[in-house]
Amino acid sequence: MGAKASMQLQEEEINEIQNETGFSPNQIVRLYSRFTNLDKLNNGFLSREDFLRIPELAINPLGDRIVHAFFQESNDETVNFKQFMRVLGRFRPIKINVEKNKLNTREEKLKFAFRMYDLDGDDKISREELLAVLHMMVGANISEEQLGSIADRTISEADIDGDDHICFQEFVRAMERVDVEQKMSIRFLH
Amino acid sequence: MPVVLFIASSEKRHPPARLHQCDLKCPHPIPRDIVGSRRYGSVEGVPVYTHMPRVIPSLIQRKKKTEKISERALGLPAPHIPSVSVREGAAGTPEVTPDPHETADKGIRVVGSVNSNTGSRARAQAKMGARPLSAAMWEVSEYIRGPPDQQTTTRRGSEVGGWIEFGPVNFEPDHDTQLASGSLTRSERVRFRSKVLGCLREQPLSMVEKKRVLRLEFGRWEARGLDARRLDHSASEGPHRQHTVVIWRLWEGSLKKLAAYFGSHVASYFTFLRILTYLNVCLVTVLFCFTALPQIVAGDITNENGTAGSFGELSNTIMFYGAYTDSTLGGYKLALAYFLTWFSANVLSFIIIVVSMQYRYRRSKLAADDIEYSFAGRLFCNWDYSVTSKEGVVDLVKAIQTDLKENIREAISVRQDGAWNRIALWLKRIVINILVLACLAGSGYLIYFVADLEIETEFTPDFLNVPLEKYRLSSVVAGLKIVVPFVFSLLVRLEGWHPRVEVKLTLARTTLFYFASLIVFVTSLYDATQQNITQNITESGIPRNETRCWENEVGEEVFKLVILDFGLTILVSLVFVVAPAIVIRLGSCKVEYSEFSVPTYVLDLIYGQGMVWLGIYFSPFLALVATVKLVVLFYFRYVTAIFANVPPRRLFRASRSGNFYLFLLLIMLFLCTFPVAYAVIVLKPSAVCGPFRDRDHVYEVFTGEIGSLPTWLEDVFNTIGTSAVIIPVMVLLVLVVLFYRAKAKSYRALNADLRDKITFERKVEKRKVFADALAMSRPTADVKGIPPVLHMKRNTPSAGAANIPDCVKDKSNTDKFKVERDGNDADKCVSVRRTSRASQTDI
Repeated sequence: MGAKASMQLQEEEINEIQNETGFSPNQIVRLYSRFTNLDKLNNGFLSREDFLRIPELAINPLGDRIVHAFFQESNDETVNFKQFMRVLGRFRPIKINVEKNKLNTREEKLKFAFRMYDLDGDDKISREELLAVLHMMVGANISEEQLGSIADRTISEADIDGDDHICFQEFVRAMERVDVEQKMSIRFLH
Repeated sequence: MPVVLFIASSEKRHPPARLHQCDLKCPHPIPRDIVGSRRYGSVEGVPVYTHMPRVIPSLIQRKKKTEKISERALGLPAPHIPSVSVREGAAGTPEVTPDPHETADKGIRVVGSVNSNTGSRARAQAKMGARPLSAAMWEVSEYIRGPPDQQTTTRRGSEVGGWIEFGPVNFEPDHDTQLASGSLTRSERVRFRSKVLGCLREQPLSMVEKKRVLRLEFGRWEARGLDARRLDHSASEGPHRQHTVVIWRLWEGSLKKLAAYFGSHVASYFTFLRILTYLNVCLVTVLFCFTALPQIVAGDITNENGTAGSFGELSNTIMFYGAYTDSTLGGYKLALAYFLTWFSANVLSFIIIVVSMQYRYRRSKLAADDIEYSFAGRLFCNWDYSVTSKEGVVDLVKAIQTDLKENIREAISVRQDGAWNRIALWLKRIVINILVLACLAGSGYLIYFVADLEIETEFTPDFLNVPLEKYRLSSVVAGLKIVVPFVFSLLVRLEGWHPRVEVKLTLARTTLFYFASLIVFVTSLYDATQQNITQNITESGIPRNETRCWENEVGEEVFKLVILDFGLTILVSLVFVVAPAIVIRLGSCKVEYSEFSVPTYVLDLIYGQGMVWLGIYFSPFLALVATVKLVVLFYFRYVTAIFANVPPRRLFRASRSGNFYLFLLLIMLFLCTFPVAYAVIVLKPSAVCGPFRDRDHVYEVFTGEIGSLPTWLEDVFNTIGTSAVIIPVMVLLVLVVLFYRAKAKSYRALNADLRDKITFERKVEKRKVFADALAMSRPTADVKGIPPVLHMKRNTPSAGAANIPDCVKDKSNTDKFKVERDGNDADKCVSVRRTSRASQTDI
C-alpha cells in the first residue's frame, strides 16, 4: 500500500504540502497511505462515510462532530488529500524553536474546536447547538431540564456581549486557561 | 573503530557471503549461518559486525531448540539504528571516511542494511529525494551486495549512493563498545544520546520497534529510567504530585471507576474506608509488635487459671486481656508495655486522623476550581479524544454525566416560594426533630433494658450456654443500628434540605444515636464489671481459678458485637440490595435497584472503628479482625455497588464531606477512649488475670516507674500535675487556638483578595495583548493576507468604557476593518465579514 500511495503522490505535491502544513515528506507519504487506505472507493477523496468507518471515530459520541469539522475545511461533501493534510496540520505540536507555521497556531486549533460546536457554520454557537452536543456527549441520562440549564449556564458564563450566543472570540476567552497547544496536538510519526 | 554491518532478513535469499566482494574487502568469507555470531573479523583493523534484525523472534525460537545462540546475540539491536547524518559519497566508490572529530577511535560505523520489508518504502522515499535512513541504507547495501540488477543499481547508485555515518553507537555490551562508551565524556554521551533520539524519531518505525531499539541502544536500566521519568511526568500532571508512598494508592483503580459511575459522593465512602484500613493496619502493627510478640516470645500465651468465656478456649489466649502477664523480658516490662502500647495506639489513631484531615484539606485548597468558566470548560474540554476503546467511551460518558449532574445540582439552588410554604417546612422540620429525639431515647432505653436483663441472668450457668442469651445485648445493639438510621434517613427526606446538608444531618443524628447506644452499652458493661468485682471480693473464699476476669468479659462482648455487626451488615446488604437486584435480573420489574446510601455505610464504618477503640484495651487482636473486616467489606461493597446498586438519584459534589466523616471519627475516638480511660484509671483490675493482676490500679504500673526516677524529675512530674501549671497551660492553649483562628481568617481573606486580583489582572492583560495584536496586524493584514486574529478587539483603555463588553465595543468600529481569513488556499478562503454580523445585531 505504501508503495502504491507514493506512486500517486508527485514530488511537487509533497513539497507544496510540506510548505503549507509543515509535515515532513516522510509523514506526508505515510499519511497519504493512510488516506488511500481510508478511501475505499479509490476516487481520490474521502466522504463522510469513509471517516465514520474508522472504528475509533465510530464509537466516539462526538465522532460525527469531528468529521463535521473536517468537512468545514472543504465546504462540500468531500475531502481531498490536501484538505485532509491541512486539517491534520492543525494538530501538529507547536515547537518553540521551529519556525511558525500558520496552521498549528493556538488560534487555528481553537478554530477547529469551535467548528465542532458550530453546526450551522454561522460562527456562533447557539443554545440549540450546545444542547445537541450535550445530547451526544451524555446521552439521555440527564433530564431535558437539567441539560437546558447546563446549556444556559454555559452561555451565560461565556457570553460577553449578551446576544445569547457564543462567538469565536468569546469561545477563545472561555478557553484561555486551557492548554490548547498541548491538548490539541498529535504526535505524528516521523 | 568497529564497523557494524546490518544485514536483514532478505539476506536469506542473497547470502551474505557476497559481502566479501565489496570494497570493504572483508578478509574472511562470511559464514553462511550468521545467526549467533556477530563479529566477522575486521576490515583494515576494524571489527565488522553483522546482524539479522528482523529474524529476532525466530532467533529466539531457534535458541530454544538449539541453545546455540548466546544470550548476547539476542540482545542485538533492532534494524534501524538511527543515522546521524547521511553523507553523500562519490557514487560507486564508497569509502570509509572517519568523521573527523569524534568517531575516529571509538565510534561504530554502520555500513549498510537491507530490509526486505521496508524495501519498497525505502525505494519510494529515495525517489522523493529525501534520504531517510532506511532508503540510504538500502541503497548502500544494494551497492555492497554487488550488482545483481545492473540497471537499477547503477541508477540508484548514482542518485543516492552515499555513506551513512553513525556516531559512536553504544549498542552492545561488547568489550569494544564498552571501551568506546567508557571513553566518552559525560557531555559527549549526553550529546550523543540526544542525537540518537532525534534520529530515531525520524525513522519510519512503529512505536514498539522504536522502543525496542531504544532499549537495546541505551541498555536496560536506562530504558527503565526513561519509563520512570515518564511515570514521573504523568504523576506530576495530576493533583497528587507526591507519589512516593505507593501504598497510599491502594485500590486506586477501583476508586476511580466508582467515582466515574457513582459520583464523588459514593467514592468518598470508599476513600474513607481506605483511610480506616490504613489506620487499622497501623494499629495492628503497633499492638502486635509491642504486646503480643513479646508475650509470645516470653512463652505465656494462655491464662491457665481462667475460665472459658464465650469464645471457649480462645478466651484464655492472648487474643484477650486475661492471658497477658506481668513478666519481664530482658528489661522489657510487659505490663508497662501493655499500658503504653494501648496509650500510643490511641495517640496514633488521633495523629492519623488529624494528618489525613489536614492532607485532605490541603488538597481541597489546591483544587480551587475555576469559578468563571466552570460549565463552558466542562462542555468544551471534557471529552478526552484519546479514548478509543468502547469500554473507555462508556466509562467516560458516564463520568461526564455524573460530573455534569453534580455540578448542575450545585448550581441550581432550591428555591422556596411563599412564606407559608416556608413556615410549613420549618414546622415539619421541628416535628421531625422531635421524632428523632424520641427515637434516640427509645432505643437508648431498649438497650439499657436488655442489658439490665442480662445482669440478672448473667451468672446462671444454664443460660450462659444458650447462644441467644450470649448474643442478646450485642444483637439488640446491632439490630437497632440497622433500623434507626433507616428511619432517620426516611425522616430527613421530608425536611427538604440540600442533599449535602441532608447527608450531614443524617450523619449527625445517627452518630448521636450511636453514641447513645454506645454509652448505654458501656454503662451496662460497667454494671456487669462492678458486679463481677464485688463478686470477686465477696467470694474470695472460693478457689481463684473459678473467678472470671471482667476485662475478658468486656473484651468478649465487644468482640461479639464487632463480628455480629459485620455479619449483619453483609446480611442486610444481601437481603436489601443484592436480592432485589437478582430479582430484577430475573425479569421482574416490581422492585427497584437500591441506591448506594452513603451516610448509613459511613456510619457503619465509624461505629465499627469505635468498637475497635473500645475493645483494643481488652482484646488487642480486635484491630486485626477489624482490618480483615474492612478489606472484605471493601470488596463486598465494591462488587455489590457495581452489580446491584444504582448511583444516588440526586448527585452532588462531595468534595469536603470526607473531612466531615473524619471529624465524626475523631469524636468517636474521644468518646470511645473515655470509658476505657475511666476503666484504666478508676477500676480495680482483675486479681487473677491480665498484666496488672497484682496492682490496685492500672496506672500504678506507670507511676511505679516514675517513682524510681531521680528526685528532680519526680519533682517536675509532681509540679506538672498541680493546677499552678495546668491552668496557665490551658489558657495558653486557648490563646494559641484563638491566634491561629485569627490567622486562618486573615489568610482566607487574603486568598479571596488574591483571586480577585488574578481575575482582574487577567482581564487587563488580555486587553493589552489584544490591543498590541491589533496594532500589529492591522497594517499587515491587507498586505500579506496572513490570518489575523479574528474579531480583533480594539480597546481604548478609557475609564468610561471599561465595563462595556468588548464585543459591543467592537461593533462600533467594525466597519474600519474587514478581516479576511485566508486559509492559504484561495478557493477555500472563508471570509468573515464582521460588518455583516454586526449589522444583524446592531441597533
